[in-house]
Amino acid sequence: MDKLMIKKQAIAGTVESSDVQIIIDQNPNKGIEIELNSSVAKQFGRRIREVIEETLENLEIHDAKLVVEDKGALDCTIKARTIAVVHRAAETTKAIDWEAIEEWNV
Amino acid sequence: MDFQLKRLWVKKSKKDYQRWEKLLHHAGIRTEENVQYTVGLFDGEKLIGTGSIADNVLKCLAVCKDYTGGGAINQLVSHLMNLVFEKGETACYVYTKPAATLSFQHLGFKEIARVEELVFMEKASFGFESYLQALSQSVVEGDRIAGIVMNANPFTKGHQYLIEAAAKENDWVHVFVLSEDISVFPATDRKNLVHKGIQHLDNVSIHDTKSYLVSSATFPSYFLTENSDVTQIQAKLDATIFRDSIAPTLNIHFRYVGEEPYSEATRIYNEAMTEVFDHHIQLTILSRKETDGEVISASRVRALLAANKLKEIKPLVPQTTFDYLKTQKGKEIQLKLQDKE
Amino acid sequence: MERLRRTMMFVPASNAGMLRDAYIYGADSIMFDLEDSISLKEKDTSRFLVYQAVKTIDYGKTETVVRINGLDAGGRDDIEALVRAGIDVIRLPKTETAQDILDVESVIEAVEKKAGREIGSTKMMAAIESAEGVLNAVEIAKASERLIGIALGAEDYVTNMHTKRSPEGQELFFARSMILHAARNAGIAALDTVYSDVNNEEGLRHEVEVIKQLGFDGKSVINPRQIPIVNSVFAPNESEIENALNVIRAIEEAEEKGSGVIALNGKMIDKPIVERAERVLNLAEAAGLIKRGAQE
Repeated sequence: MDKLMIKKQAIAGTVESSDVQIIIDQNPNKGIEIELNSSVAKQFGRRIREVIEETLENLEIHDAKLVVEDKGALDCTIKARTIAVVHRAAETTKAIDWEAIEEWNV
Repeated sequence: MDFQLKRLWVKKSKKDYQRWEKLLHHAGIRTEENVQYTVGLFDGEKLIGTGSIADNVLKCLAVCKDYTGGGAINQLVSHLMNLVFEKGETACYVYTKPAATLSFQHLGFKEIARVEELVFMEKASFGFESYLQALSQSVVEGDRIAGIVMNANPFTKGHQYLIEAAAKENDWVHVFVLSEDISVFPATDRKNLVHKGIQHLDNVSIHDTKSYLVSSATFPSYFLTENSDVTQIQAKLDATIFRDSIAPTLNIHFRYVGEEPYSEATRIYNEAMTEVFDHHIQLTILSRKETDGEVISASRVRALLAANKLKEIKPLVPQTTFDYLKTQKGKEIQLKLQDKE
Repeated sequence: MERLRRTMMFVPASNAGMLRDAYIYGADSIMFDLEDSISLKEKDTSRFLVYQAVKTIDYGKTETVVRINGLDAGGRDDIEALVRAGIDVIRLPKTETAQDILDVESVIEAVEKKAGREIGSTKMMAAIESAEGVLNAVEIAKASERLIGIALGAEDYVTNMHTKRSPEGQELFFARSMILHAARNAGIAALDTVYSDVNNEEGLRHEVEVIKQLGFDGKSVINPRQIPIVNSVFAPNESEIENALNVIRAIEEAEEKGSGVIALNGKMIDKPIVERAERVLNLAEAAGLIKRGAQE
């Protein structure tokens, strides 16, 4: 699979209830930086970060700045929005390597 | 439970305009001419919310009273935000009333500044904080630090004169060149020409303004005609951002501007600065440099360029700018100006 | 027991909240829509969202259906994602010919192979939304073993026919009849189109009565509020239930006696009567009106 690279800023998701909105941007050599705003941050903030970080790890994204607006999304929604925003930022929304995603996404 | 989003053709359809105006009116919001896209939120056939976009700014947002507190505003703003970011914008702005700031905070917007009844908020991955942080890398120690903001469209001897005057009277001068590409001369070239034109000065540094000074976000009526009330508020907002955030970051206590006898927007802007800066920042308005009894201005240079009177431009601009005008790129700009005529 | 498809609820695939809650409203099937309700710009994110939802969320006994885009408009990616996620049924929009079914089927099969899923495990449904599709309904319905049903998509159909939908619905009579005949001929389900005015409960009830009388198995719904109304119309009445229970009892008695001939009240019971009784009892059970398997 071609390596996914954050080429530009991208956005995915909404700020509607049960959803999460993620903006991603380059963050060269600065690792993963997540700015999280959530109505449930106190209870679930750590879990939300974990899901995002794991997903990024699986997509082999090691440097990125993310601004995350959580509205009580399920883990699977957070995962889906993370995958989507990375593909958008990598400009590969039309050539998705499902096989590669399926390898880790079980 | 879920509402439908449909485009409103507020400029093409009379019916759409009327129901749009009615909804905004009920919410105490004025319609605006400068919107590029307007959407309506419908519960069945009933229009219950609306919002518009102008570049990277969300405008004219309103939700019918019976539907506030539900998901309506979130659905609207999500849709508009997505459109803004998909266009390639790196930030999204909104003007709102103090009472509504909380709901925008819940959507991830951060307050940049407020003037009277107007709050200016931003949503971005690298936003205002990042900008100020980058600026803080350029802090210079000194007793007298000055700032100048210019479009330099293109850089003239007038601009040069302004910077030279400030450089003489101050320990350091921070020059901010407008970053947005909405002028005829591209931002990178404008900045580059400023850079070339001040090579002889060793106490000047150049910065980008991003969207935070005289931009289509902070000060749209600088570029588009609006009534003077609107222009005045925007000018005050712009001056407030400079006073409260940018100037303190760089320790700026003096600001220099050129007198502008012909532009109403600039006149209002200078007035607003005087009022807002008060005793925090000393504003110096220099009268324009003249040649042969006429003041030098970038607009005059553009007019001459459109009229293909290069010879007459020569005494108005530094050699570096003049050389640029003769390049292929300069000629393309000339053609663009001629098309506009 | 044959699956009931009284109600198939449309859920826009872009709506995270509805994806999560879709199964709580009691629809027999949920149809995640990637086609008309999703703007071009949100196809990518919606596909990931419904993919992850189907993979993760337990929809219980509810049948999961996805309405894909045309093969040349993102449909291949839709199939790839949703077959991998384990969707029950892929629904084709705007089906015009039997070849459309075969084209989609070959894409589904290729993905099943790649992903190591059982070949044929993903079912198909076809929506017929044009004059051409209606006229080819017979061939369409028989085009693939995977097909579990065909549905009328009336909004596009009436546009194609240069007319509009009316409360009486004469404009849909021919299409409905064709689709029903094609479905029955192929032994698959026939599903009626949506009723868009969510606030008009009486109008909906009337329309469901009409299509039930024609012979449809169920109706597409666009709002959870419509589900109980459709289900209640499809619920059999007391005498239907009583009659069906008697038929089944008669069969059991005949079996106990080892008799080859089954009769009820002096009348012969043949296969169609048995089938109808089964169907009535299925519907009655789904409506919570009877408890099957209870000893009596």
